[in-house]
Amino acid sequence: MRAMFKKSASAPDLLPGTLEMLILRTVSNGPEHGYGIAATLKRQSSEVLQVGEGSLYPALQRLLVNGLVKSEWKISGANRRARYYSITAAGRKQLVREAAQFERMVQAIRSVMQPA
Amino acid sequence: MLAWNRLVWKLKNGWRRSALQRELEEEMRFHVELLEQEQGQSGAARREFGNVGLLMEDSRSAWGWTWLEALFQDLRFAIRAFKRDWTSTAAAMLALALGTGLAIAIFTIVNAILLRPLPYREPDRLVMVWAVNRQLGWDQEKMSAPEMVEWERSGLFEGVVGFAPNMTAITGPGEPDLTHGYAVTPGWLRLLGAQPMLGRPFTENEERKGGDNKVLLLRHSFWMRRFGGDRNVIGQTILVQNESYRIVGVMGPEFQFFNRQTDLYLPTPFHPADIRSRNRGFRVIARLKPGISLDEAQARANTIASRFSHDFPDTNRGWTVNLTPVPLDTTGPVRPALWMLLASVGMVLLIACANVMNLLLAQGIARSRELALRVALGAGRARVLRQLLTESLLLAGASSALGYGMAHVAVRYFRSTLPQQFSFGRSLIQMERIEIDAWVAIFTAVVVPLTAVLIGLVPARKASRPDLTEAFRDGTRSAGVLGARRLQNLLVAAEIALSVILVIGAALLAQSFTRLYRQGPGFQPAGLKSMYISLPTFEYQIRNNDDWRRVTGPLWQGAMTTVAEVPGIESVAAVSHLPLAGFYYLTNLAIEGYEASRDNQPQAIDRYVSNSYHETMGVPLREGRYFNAFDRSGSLNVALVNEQFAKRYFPRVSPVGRRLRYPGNNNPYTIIGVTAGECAGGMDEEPKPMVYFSMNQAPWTFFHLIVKSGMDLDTTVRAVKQALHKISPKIAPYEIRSLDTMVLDSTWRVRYSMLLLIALAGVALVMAALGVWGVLRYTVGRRSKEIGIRIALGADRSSIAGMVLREGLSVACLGMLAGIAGACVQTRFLATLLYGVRAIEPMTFAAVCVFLLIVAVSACLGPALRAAGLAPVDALREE
Repeated sequence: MRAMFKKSASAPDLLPGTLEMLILRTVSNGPEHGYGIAATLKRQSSEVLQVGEGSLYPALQRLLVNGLVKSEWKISGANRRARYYSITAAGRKQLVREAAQFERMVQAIRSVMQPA
Repeated sequence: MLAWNRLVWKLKNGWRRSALQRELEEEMRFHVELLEQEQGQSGAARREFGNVGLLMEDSRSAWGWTWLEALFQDLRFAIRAFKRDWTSTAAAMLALALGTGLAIAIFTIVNAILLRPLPYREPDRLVMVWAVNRQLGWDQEKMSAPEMVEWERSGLFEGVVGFAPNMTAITGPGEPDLTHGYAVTPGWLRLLGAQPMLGRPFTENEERKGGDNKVLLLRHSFWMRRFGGDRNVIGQTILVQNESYRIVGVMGPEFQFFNRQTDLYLPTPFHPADIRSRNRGFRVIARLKPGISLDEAQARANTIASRFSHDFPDTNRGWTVNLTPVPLDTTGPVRPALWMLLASVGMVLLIACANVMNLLLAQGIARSRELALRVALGAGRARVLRQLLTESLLLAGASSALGYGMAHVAVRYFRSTLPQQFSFGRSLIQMERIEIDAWVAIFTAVVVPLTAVLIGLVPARKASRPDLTEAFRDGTRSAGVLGARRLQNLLVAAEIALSVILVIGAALLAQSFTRLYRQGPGFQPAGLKSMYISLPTFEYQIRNNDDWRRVTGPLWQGAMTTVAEVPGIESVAAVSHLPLAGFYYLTNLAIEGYEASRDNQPQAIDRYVSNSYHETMGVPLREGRYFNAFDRSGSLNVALVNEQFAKRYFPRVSPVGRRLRYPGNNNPYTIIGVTAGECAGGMDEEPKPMVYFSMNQAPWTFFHLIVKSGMDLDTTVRAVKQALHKISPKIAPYEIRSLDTMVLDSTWRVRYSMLLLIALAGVALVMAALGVWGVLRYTVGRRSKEIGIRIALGADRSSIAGMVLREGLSVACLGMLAGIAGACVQTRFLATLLYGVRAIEPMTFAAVCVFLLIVAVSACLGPALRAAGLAPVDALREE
């Protein structure tokens, strides 16, 4: 029963853990709030990666708890309070690690799928 | 690394839940607003946003420890469930607290007496070598010196040590004090395998004959009492009877030897090899040679003993030997009682668990709806099970904490009721150090979860697997509920059965105790006080027997007269050994004109008493006369005998006028009268044959002074002390006791068993009543609809009440029948404690059954009245 609600209708299935990696990459360029992160991901992936809020915010919380990002409430452009996430030193290290791992994974898949 | 971060974050923010939640909500609102801006004010934004609640939950799961949160949730539910039905919960908690508390208390006692090892090396290899004469009724008698030497040579033991009581008068420095000591033969501590806490054991030079014998080892309690725990006491000298003795060591607090009152140990001045007399003077303790089993040693000892009785018929005919392992020796008499206690504890704990299981079962029935709902909504069966087990653990934990507190109080109370008179309760020697120690804590830590699991398992299993459709249906007719009811009723019946057993046991013991106490010790203790006095003969120069007689006569007479003159003292007497105390000397006698047959060597307890003794003590006279003022030194030597002596050695004639003497001694004593029997040992034993000699004719210098006065103990003692100090300031009364207390203390075995069993029975009874009440309550609750219908259809209210009562009483009667059967079995364990009552007393059984019926009826009353008072409309509406 729970499974039915888990996936958001729009986003394709990501390999587990890649969402966190993507978020880290996004905020490594500079602080962003939740909406901004989702928008950036959508834009940079040419509308392929559409992350639902049901996945985004839990992932952000996990990153917070693990100390890979830190958050700060700032006044946004629309004169409202918003929470901005930025990467930490530990986050940067993790990003490097995960990126390397992801590359390895992709290479492996590619070599299997290689036409003979 | 990440784990560490997580821990830190959770610790920092785990408590800010509501704030975190608000922040998250704000964040969501912001996001939704931006979405709306992007896509226009339609509901699409909201819809696209998805399930907020689920999002919250997923986020929240990152914030804390899920297992911990689940646990807290379980606990909250548990507390809520308990609050909903707080009367039942309170009843269950009470039952469990009583049960576990009692279990812990009794285990503490049993642990102290039975389980804790003695402070010796390999205590199972140590044996007491007792002389036994079944026919004459002696079963823990001392050995004579020549016998002791023979045992040493027998090859059975790697060491043999004899010890004899030695009253030691400490005359300085400081307050004079009379202490109880043991004179021990060489090798004592080495045999035991114990070491002093301070100082050292006796050296060979100090132990050997003619060596530096004037040394002492102190017992810990005495060292604390007299020297205040001063560590410099080693090497100091104290004056014993004006002679210098050196303190060479102090034993540790856990050390004890043979009895509770000994204060110090010294090397014996009399060496067994030098003593010719075959009078029994030494208690003997020995260590079995390695490789020899107890049975083997006993068999070989029997052979040796029969050789003695062959070689020395005068003193040893009819005497055998008994090797008792030391751990059994002290605790032997109470062991069966203790095992029965442990069994009772087991039973009471089971009753408590049964009660609580009933409660949870009943709750399970009532909650089957709720639990079915949970399962339907997606809680796993494991989750429900965990919830229920958490409840039972919580209940068990809380109750046990309460019970632990109760146990603590109970143990402290118990320790304060230890017999004051040291001579009693040698078996209780371990109880002075009774405390709730590690073993008890382990016991508790094991018992509590065990009970929790026990009580929780059955109802939990039943409840976690509810047949969903059944549960939602009206439950009164479903098979599942009926099955549970049968189990419930069985449990209550079992509780009642166990209560019956315990209550009958307690009643029998109470009867025994009353009979024993009424039986009396053979004298009238009212107003009597006694103290042990040692006359300071060391202040005089005594070189020979004449000097001795010249000094002691007037000294003794002077002491007696001075005390008699004290205002408030009605009468004074003196005796060599107090009755009931169990200390006595057994002597061989030659009776003139009595044909000492092979199996009937005259042996009796000899007692020296002042002429006023029998009248002061109120011992009735059967024949002849008491001692009187005409019996003094120089006049005819007289003796009194008790009726047991008369019956044994003068079966058909009167002993008055006949003469007896000590064998080998030419001084005959004329028997002038026969008195009733006094108990030398316990009141439940038949008085042993006794011969009284007049102390006026042969003064003793160590004796018990008995005074009859109307004043309280302290005032009396002070007055006596003052009077005695006129004779000599060095006189210190010792072993001060009121004979009333002594008589009460002598019943300690029956009394303690009775008290403990009453406690157990009381607890069991309370719990059985709670059980009946609880079960009926739920039955009425479950059947309220049916009852409502019945009343609406015209049933008489009293018949409704009767219906409930009948159900309750049928269970109770079933339980009682089982209980009576069980009570007949428990007799085996009670046998050693009962006195004057049979183990199966029909009157007692009947009375107990009636009592329990009354209890059962009163427990049924509440629910029955409630059932009868149901308004049909409410009952039918109740769902």
